[in-house]
Amino acid sequence: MTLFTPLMFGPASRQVFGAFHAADEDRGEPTAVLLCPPFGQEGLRTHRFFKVLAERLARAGIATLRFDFYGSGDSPGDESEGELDGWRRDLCAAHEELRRHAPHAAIVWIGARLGATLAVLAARNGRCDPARLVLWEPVIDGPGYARLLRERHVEAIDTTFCIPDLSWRRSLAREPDALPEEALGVRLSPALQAQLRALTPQSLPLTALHDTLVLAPPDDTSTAQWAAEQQSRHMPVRLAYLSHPLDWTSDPFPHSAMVPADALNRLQGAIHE
Amino acid sequence: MNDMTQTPVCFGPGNALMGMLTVPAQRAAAPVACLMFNMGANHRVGPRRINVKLAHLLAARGVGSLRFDLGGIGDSEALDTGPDLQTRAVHSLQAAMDLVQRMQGIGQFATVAMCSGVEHAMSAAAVDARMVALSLFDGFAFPQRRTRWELTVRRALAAPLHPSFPGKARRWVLRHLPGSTVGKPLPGYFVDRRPPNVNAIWFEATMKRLVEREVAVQLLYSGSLHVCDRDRDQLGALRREPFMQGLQYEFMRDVDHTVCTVKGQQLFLQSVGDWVVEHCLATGSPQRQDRPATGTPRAIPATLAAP
Repeated sequence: MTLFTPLMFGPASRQVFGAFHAADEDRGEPTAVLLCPPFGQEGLRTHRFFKVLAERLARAGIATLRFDFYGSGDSPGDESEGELDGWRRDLCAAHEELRRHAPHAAIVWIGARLGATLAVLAARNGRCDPARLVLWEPVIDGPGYARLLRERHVEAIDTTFCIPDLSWRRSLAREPDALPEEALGVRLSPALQAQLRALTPQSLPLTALHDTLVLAPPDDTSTAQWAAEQQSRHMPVRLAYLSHPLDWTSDPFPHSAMVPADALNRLQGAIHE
Repeated sequence: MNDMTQTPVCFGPGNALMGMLTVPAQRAAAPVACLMFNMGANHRVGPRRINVKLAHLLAARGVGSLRFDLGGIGDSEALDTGPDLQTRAVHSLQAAMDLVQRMQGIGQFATVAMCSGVEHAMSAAAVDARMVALSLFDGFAFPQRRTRWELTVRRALAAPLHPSFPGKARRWVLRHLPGSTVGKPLPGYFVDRRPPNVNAIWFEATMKRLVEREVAVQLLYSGSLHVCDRDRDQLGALRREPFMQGLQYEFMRDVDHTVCTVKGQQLFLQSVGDWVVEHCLATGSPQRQDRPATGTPRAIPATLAAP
């Protein structure tokens, strides 16, 4: 049988899908984990990774909830309704749902990419009380992220079509800093475009309320600098390096890792660091 | 989203399978429901979430659907009900039909399948009469010499300007170096077990059987994989067979294999959505409705999550 309980939660007008992995009763830990997935194609790409991570954590005695933000994954809603404020509320709704299932546990949030960014925004809001944040390659530069998605979108079209539509590439060359209306099969709402445009490292301060572990590739100097700035503000944050072969935006294909063991082990270990 | 109800369900042998049932909220659902499942290793939402978008579109037009993960993929646990993937995939599809039949009282199904899922859907339809319509995207193709030449020439002409050409050329060389292991499939994984001529024989025999049973079939082919198509080119010699004339065939030049662009998604959703709605809302012929299913529904408990 499936090793989790599928559920819908949140306000009636904004239900989202979640999968609750109950802790192995023999190894009950005083910790629970909320997994915050990345945006768009990155979220689809990492679905299997987070499923396996949730199963591992549950076997280790840690109750875990994974969920899809409204308008993404298996949740109701249209992509055109996607924007950070609503997703931040979804994250808090997921926190409350996990709290309902694990009332006495300290809840750790593990966020990846834009899911990590949303974790910072939601934790700062103060409406929910995570014990700790683990941020895996958080998006701290919205325009840079939008540009990356746009470049990957153009690459995907170039790769998939034997005779590609070059207008995508020309548009990228002509207006390299324009925010995309779509990327890798996902519409970006005008609100989300504006929010990404405004998202900078300076707009994403951590608070002193939560211990934070940031996991970033060794060559990601921007994230290292952001973490250092948070440390200089005496925020309880630590940076650790994590290299992995996971391609966030690709389709699953042979010889492309879907659940790299090193990353899995590192994230599992990060719960208690 | 108040015009539909979405309910996550666990079902099948040992409740190992996971899916999402989407039904219209304001009116009775159509007498035929739609099934959707994985394309390759993507989970039940489909490539670029296309299955979810299709489910919402169908619900808004009165058609219920179940999107689910085959055993061992996405959120579903592996089944041990058969010796090979193909058999287990058929069991997964039959379990999905059992569930909808039990929950919704609907006993006829239109299945939307993409890429590797096409073979699964055809195999299930061949043994289970509850499947009355199949929409098959980028499945079997048997282009003949003229089509292959045209594809090669068009590719060659486009290659110098193709931004991906250097990378593709490099990978091609690496694959063909003596002793190279690049691109070699791992033993037991991603290996096409049947040669093309065997595939063609299987496709023809199965399709003939489905047509005889009056199963409606829509065949769709993407422009990214097939580039050009003049007259049902992907069917090869089969395109002239009388039994193939009643099938709907569409070459979708602006749609790519993983529906990566919004424009491609709109074209896909319009074509598949209209076709599925037409076949789900049309009341089946009495002859079809009365026909007993060859696959006997099994009593497998379904677990509904709290909405």
